[in-house]
Amino acid sequence: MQKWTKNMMDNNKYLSVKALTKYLKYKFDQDPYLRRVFVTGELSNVKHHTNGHIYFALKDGQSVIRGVMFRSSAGKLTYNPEEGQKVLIEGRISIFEMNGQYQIYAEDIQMDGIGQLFEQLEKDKKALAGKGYFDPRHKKALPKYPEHIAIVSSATSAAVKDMITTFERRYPLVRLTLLNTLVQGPESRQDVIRKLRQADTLGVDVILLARGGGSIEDLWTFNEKEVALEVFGTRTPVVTGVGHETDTTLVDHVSDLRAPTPTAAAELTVPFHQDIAERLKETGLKITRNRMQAIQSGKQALLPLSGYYKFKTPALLYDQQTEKLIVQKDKLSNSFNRQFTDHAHSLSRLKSTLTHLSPMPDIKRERNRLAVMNEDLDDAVEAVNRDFRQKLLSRIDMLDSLSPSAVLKRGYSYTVKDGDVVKNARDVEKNEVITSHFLKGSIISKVIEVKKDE
Amino acid sequence: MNEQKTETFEEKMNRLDEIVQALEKDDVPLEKSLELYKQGIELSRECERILKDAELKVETLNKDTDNEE
Repeated sequence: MQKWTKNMMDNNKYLSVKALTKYLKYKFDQDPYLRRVFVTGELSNVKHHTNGHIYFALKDGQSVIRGVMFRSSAGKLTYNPEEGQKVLIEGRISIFEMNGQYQIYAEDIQMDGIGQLFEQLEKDKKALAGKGYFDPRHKKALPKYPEHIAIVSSATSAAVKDMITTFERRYPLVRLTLLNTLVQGPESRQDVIRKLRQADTLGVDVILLARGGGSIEDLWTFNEKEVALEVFGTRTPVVTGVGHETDTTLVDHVSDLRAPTPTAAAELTVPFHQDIAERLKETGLKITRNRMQAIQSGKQALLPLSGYYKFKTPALLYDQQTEKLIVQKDKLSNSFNRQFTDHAHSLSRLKSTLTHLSPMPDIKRERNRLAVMNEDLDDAVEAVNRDFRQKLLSRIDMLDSLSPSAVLKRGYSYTVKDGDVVKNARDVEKNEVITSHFLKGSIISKVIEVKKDE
Repeated sequence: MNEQKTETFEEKMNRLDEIVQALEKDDVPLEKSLELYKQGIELSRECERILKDAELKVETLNKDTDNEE
């Protein structure tokens, strides 16, 4: 009870955690030694937070101190802090009030010596080589005559100007797309990666990743594993030209072609237009010569053929036949003539035989006889005619004397009934009409009475 | 004609190479070889003209990016 009361009474002497922490933080912050410390150690538990801050622990064999590097400082880093790296850190020691932890607030982190950098590089190189990333089988073939080239480099740098001049001079056919890129400094790593990705989407034939000469630290971006992996993963062929001839960076190992300098990269990527023009001329000459030779050899082959004596004197080809033809023709006409003569001969013989057998003389003789006989006949007929005419005349006289008209002259008449001469009174009935003809005229009478004299 | 327009310089050069190779064979018939020869000469003239008339085209992306070099 006593003790509790005492506690109550002495309440004033107890500090809140917050107050104590604040006091401790004040002590740290105003200590000149802790305000600016340089400490060396090995990084562990390195976490790159999305907000840009880097959290880590720094340790050596005996002790550990937690640390943080805020984005404002982390952005200025020239390399990428990683697990296990030996580093030199410059910063201040303070307390993070939320958890009372003292820690180092790093303002700069450097690899512990350039040797460390190379050590890291060697490790990365070994790792990538171990995965076969440097193998020639991964090297993509470069097009012989690229049409479109992307340059990932600092657009304003002398290196790019040199490259453009080189393209202008060697192969102005090409289309260049410059992707302005940070090639050194803390942000260059991400920018190079970003621009490589962008270039890979442009559909270009080749990507040139280039940077002019500089200190090894300046070129370090191109030794970064992440950058090398990006170069390796690019679908478009990548040609690297980083630094001077003597500098070989990690990207050079994974790229499809390593050029010693940016200018060399440009030179290796495109052919020299004069070489092409030269080649075109040679090609033209070559095929022309080739054609001429072909024609010449054709002529040569033709020569002995065209010199063949039968081609030169084509009559030789048909002389034999012509001669044969003449002989045959002669034979034919001879044989024809002979046959003709034979036939003509026998014909004339037949003709003369026929002549001998002709009936013409007989015909002539008979015809004469006929004529004589005709004359005799005519005379005879004449005589008969004359005789008959005489007889006829005497008959006519006789007839004349017997004619009815001569009877009528003497006063006789004849009666007709119905066209018939009435020879008997019985042929007529009373009251019938009869006609009586006289030498001159006639009388028509009606019968008054018929006296039938028996 | 349309085909010629889209044909790249590389394709033209490759075609020229093929023609030269074809011409170097002995068994090309004369008519065919004359046709190839004509094509070859035309192609090589065309390529020469392209080379002669070429003008470098440069385009810069991301000009606004800071540069420390």
